[in-house]
Amino acid sequence: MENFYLESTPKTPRLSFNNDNGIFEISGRSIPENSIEFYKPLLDWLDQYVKEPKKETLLIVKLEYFNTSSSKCLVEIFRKLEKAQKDSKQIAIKWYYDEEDEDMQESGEDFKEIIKIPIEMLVLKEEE
Amino acid sequence: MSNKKLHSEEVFQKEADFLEHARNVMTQSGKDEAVWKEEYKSLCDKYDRLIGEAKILTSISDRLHHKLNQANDQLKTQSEEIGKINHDLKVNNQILQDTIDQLVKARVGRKAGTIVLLIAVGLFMLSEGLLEPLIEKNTENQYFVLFSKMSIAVLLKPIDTVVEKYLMRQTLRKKDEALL
Repeated sequence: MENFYLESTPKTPRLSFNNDNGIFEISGRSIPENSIEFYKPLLDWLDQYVKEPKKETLLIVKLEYFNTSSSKCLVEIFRKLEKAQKDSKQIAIKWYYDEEDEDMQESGEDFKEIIKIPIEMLVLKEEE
Repeated sequence: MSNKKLHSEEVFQKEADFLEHARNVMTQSGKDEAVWKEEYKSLCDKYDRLIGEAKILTSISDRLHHKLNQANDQLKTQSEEIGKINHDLKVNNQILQDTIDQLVKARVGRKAGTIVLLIAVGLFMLSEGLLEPLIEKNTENQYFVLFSKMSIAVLLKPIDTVVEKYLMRQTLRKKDEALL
């Protein structure tokens, strides 16, 4: 299974999903015209990944802004990863937010309430 | 159907598919109670998830709206500041233009003064060397000499005005050419 990688654009985030080490990253802005169309290839890739996940999977989220439909797609991504939490496979999410961006922090807290994966809230440092 | 509506329907495609499934199940008969219970549990779970997601979408949407309002207010404030800066720039520009005009006028005035002085010297020499001997030769009335000198003196001011206007026109023409 190949890695999934998409470079960021002003409207879409960088998607780096490494199947070799199980480290995934979503970073940047997510305000595509059609979020479903944008995230569909990634969701299909995740369908394959969750069939044979790594022992430890880490999803790093460093979003600075996302629209409402992107948030639904994020839920879908998290839900797919929830399915991978079986047979002692560990999944973790690190949700990074800017210290001054309360909205992004609160969004992370919201996801934490409904997703059954441990979400660690972390303040984004400048060099990150 | 508009693209936006199509996209929003796609966002909830899974939920719509499950609803369709639940409706189909409802029309079927002769199922065991255990199957019904399983379907009902599944429906409750999906509904529970949907409530959770609806809460998230609502709060994220509210926050986005709040952010947009903030950005809008910021834009409005910045627009007002730009408007004020623009007005100040216009005022300062006018002050600068007035100062430049005054400086040009003063420079032209000085140049015109020099030219008029040269004309006055020329006229004085003409009066002393040519006009005065000619008058003295033809008439004994000294008032004619005095009158001619007074006429030259009186003419100096209109000459100054004409020279100044001419120089000013020249300067403005040069400025227009430079701007083009």
